[in-house]
Amino acid sequence: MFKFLAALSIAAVVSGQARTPDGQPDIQGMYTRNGVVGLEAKPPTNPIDPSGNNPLSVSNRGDGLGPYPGIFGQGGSVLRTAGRQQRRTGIVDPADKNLPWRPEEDAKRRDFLLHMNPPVDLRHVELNARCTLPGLFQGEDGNNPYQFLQRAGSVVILYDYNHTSRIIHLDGRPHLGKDIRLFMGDSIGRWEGNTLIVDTTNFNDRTSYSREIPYLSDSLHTTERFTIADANTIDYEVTIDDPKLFTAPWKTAGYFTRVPKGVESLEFACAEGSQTLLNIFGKPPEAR
Amino acid sequence: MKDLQFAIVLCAAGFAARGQDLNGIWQALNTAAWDLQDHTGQLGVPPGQGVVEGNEIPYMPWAAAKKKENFASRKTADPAEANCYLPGVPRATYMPYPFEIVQTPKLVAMRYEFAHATRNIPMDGSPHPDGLPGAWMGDSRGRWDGKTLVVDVSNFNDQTWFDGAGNFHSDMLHVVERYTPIDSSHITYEATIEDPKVFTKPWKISMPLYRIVDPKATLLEYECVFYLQEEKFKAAPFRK
Amino acid sequence: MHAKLCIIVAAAVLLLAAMPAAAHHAFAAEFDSDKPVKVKGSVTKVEWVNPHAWIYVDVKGDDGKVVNWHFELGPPNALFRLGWKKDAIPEGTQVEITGYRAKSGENVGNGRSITLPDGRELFSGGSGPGEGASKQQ
Repeated sequence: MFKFLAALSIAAVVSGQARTPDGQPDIQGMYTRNGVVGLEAKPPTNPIDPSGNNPLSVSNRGDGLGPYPGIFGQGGSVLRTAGRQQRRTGIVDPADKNLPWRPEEDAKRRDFLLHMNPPVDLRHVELNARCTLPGLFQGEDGNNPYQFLQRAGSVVILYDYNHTSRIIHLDGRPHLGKDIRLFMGDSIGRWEGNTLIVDTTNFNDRTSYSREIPYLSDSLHTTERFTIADANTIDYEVTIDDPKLFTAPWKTAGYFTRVPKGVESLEFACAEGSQTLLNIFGKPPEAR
Repeated sequence: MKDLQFAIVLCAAGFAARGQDLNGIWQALNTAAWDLQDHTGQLGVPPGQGVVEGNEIPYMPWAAAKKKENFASRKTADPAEANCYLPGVPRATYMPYPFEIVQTPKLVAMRYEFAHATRNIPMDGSPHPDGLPGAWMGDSRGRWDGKTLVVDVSNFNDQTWFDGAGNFHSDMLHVVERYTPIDSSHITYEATIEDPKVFTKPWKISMPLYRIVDPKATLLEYECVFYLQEEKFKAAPFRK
Repeated sequence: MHAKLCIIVAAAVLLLAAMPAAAHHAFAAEFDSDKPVKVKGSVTKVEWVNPHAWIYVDVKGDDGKVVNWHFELGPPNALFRLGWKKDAIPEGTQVEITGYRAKSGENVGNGRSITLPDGRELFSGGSGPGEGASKQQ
């Protein structure tokens, strides 16, 4: 028994890849996520885009001020171990970033954006503003780490953002029935070498990819690849297959890097402190 | 001799990791979510035998009056049921929804189906942090006491209720939970509650937790906030 | 406070080029950038909550009446990792706040800059990049 255990640990050392007791490559730990979401080749001007690219942006008032004191955007620095690495990020396939939209769906999407500021109704409020579960793509990465845990049969990802969590089943079970729709989908995974491949279905129609693509449909089917690149880095790529909106799948990429020692998860209660819908729409009438 | 010692250490480490495995999906089967104490049935409220030891909650006189006010306004004032806010601890344990224990050596996490609440419970002996604002789910620190998972929870805000009957606390709340496995499918859950601003002495609740044994079971989503927004803001915008 | 200011500004300069893309939500849907506000008053409370912290201020109007305003700040968790504590801004602190009013028309705005009577920024970072400096990928 001892010789077997010794052999296993020697093998682990030689391969350089630590393993969990049940034999999975050990991916556990707390990470920041980078990249993932990017701009397509001909993005629409987004009326609610706060970045410097948008002439309507409050950041372009010429006074050097953003919407909030700068420190709120800079605090995430304590989550980063080193300067940002240069790795694949954003839309990586097709290489020219021309997404294979169905023309009528692209037109609908562009029109939808024009009704988001001010939002003409609840449906046109950016999902980020509603404290919903973030789907696979949102998550306020600048300030909020991700924690990977593993046990026999599953990988669990805990997000600081809005206390989100995902479970990725590794036991070969089938997906949920088609009448159960979820913000985070239903994830079934397997390891291939040092890559965790995750197949997710059963999404509802409330996944937002980005400000420019505010919704994907309930025909969304994703394949994620989490590849352990080195002891501190996970490369990440997602194939987005949404046949209601696109004529072909496309891919977006990012990466995770370990946070410094001592960083702990903090509660991110979202709806409890949010005044956003009240500030946008005013108070709902008391009477029903 | 060295080989034997090494083997014993390896073996013991393995046993410690496996010795108490609480991993899985669990659920309480009682009516504590509606009312922690003995209560008769009402329309929409199942009758229940209480989970409070001695069936008395030792409120200070001002707090007993406040509890009555809460009860009277519970249909709109209940932070969890009426407003979809995070349910706090221990209420998250006995909401009528399953929850999942994700157990690893250095960290135990809890995932709750209600409002996708989560808790992180470091098992590394670290102290409660200082100077953070009160949390809805508190700050949890865990350790093993034999087979029992003991979780010390503090740094709460004063916003949650213990049940739908208006039982409440202040930001001085301190909860100590004990999860003791009785067999592979049952845990005895106990929580000792103290709050020097609200109660004259600590008090205790206790209940069994049942493992969801269906191997296909997985937590789904009860996105209370989203459903409530769809109702409340259906006719938005409201300003002229 | 001053030393912390220097360290944070230095860190910000280092990270400027690599800032992540825009964060939480539809600022422009919630606040009216055609309705700037500037108020002076004393802090009554700070709610360190997500997704946005809030600072509440008693403001005395020209008519002598005191009205309570509140201003939205950024998400606070990163501040706590930087060492900020929940009592960092005591009740009664005198501040001047500029921002834009909420579209609801209430006494609510976003807090773009918050200065103390001596001219120092309450939240260090000076004329920091906020959300505007980053480029989306």
